[in-house]
Amino acid sequence: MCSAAREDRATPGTRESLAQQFSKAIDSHHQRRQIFRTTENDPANHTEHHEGMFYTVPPEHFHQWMRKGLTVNMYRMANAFNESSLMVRRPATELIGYLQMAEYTMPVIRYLLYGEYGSGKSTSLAHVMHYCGTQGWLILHVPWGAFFNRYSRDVQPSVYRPGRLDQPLEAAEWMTYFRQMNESLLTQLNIKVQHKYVWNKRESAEVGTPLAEVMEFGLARVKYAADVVGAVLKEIRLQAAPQGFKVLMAVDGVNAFWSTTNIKVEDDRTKRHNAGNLSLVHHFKKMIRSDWSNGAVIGTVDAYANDEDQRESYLPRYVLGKEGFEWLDPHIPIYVPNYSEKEALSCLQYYIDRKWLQNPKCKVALSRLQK
Amino acid sequence: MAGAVEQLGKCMRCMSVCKRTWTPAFIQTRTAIYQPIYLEPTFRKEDLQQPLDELDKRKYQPIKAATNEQTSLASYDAVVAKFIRILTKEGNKKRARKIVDKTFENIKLIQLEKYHKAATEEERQYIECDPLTIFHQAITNCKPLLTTQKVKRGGVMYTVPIPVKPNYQMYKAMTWLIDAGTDKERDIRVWDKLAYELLNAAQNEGKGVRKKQELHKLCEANRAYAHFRW
Repeated sequence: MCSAAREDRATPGTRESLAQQFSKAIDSHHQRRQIFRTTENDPANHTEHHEGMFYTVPPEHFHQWMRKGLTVNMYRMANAFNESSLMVRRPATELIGYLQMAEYTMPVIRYLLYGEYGSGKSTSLAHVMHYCGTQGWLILHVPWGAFFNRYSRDVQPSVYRPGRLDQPLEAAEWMTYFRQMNESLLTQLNIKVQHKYVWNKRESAEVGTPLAEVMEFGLARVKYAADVVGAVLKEIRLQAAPQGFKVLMAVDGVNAFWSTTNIKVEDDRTKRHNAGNLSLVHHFKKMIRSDWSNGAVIGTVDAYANDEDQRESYLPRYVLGKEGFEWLDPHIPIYVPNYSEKEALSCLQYYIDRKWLQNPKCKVALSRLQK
Repeated sequence: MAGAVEQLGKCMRCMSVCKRTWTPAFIQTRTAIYQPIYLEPTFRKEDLQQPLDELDKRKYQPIKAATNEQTSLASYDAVVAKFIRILTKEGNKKRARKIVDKTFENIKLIQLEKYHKAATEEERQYIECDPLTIFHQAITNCKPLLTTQKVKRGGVMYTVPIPVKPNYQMYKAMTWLIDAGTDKERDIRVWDKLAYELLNAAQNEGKGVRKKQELHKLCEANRAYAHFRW
């Protein structure tokens, strides 16, 4: 497309009338391939005009806000292509529009992305997270809700509340992830604790201790990491409105918070713990209630975060179950459809541009499609 | 007299050879449901559109039915299909196909990374990104020209170098590549190792090519016995 246009400009040849030039320009516009890339790399400016186009995420942004949460293939391709691009799609632009228009003195609004497996829920979430990050929000991201249910390495009974289960390693891991993501913002905000937290007889955090110090304690004494996560989340929730920083709580696969875990019950080995018994999940569940303000909660509803026998439908009411649906009620559901024809074509063009499609027959097939 | 005896002996040997080749009861057959008169099928769409010659055998001889994998898909490649057939274990062709697909994907990822990270346009020209061409290059680089055969002459076994038929060349190249790909640590995936080996073989390096060179060396060492072939 570009080369044809450039040739036109480079070789003016004989002088043409204005009308001729105009008609020629229109012809070249029609002949031109569909545009699949946009130079608008700021997600705040993405509207429906950019739909189906790819925008390039700057490497430092990709490293900061999209380190986790996308599919494995996306990371491999980003590495191979030496750039990371996301397609601007309707659900993400819609959600960004809602975030721009929302009233932040009121309790937080919950948004739920739902759709079929592989339709792009997590990618849309990543796009919105990029928007929030560039706008200077504090981001709390749970890359995969079912992670705590399935892959916990070390489970210990909670000291703070008997009956609950602590996952110290996972908690410490999440805390480092959170700290990396919001490193500059946390130092700038310099949040101080408003409550007294007693970890044991000797160690406690007094009122006015910096949040960074509390997190440092959690990482040094991993035994208390899960409780520290709870304290950090509580402080952020309480101070978001008075301190005036916006908070995004993003959870991929929220419905896992109401499913069952792999961890067997001590007394009855045939039974398994509910996810609500995990202290980490308990803290995150408190975060997605709408009893705080100056922030937003975005979750994706994914059947694959459920147990194997509960994956028949992708609709929120089925996947979340009664309890989860009531917990998240009211919310704004946003449907993530599969690729439309335009989006599929633009994706194919992007792949051809990046040389991902190597077979020459692919290009022939694509040109046939475009007619 | 002596000459006549020698001639008779030669004749007898010829006859015995002929006898061996023309006794179909002793030929090893694996799922050969077609007689040799049957021709290979023409199944690609572009080949089917070609008009037939007056003397074309396909007009007068029976033709085999196309197999399941012989399609006119854009992704079909006869050599790759053969490779998959050799790679198959326990009759699990699906698994072999998956391994080959992932291998090609890995090759593409490795080459594209080199391509997009290359600084200048000149460097990029020399980076081949198509996994199929790399695969074909690897196979041709591993094909042996000669092989050895044991021949007994005067009570002594000799290793005699003999030329190779194209089918056997292909088979040998593929088995060497597959052996190189499967000889690995437990925690390394086949598709990763195989991709590495194919990329190496395309550059005339690696295990497969070394196997070929060793065989050539053996043939070279035994070239004094080459005349025992007859």
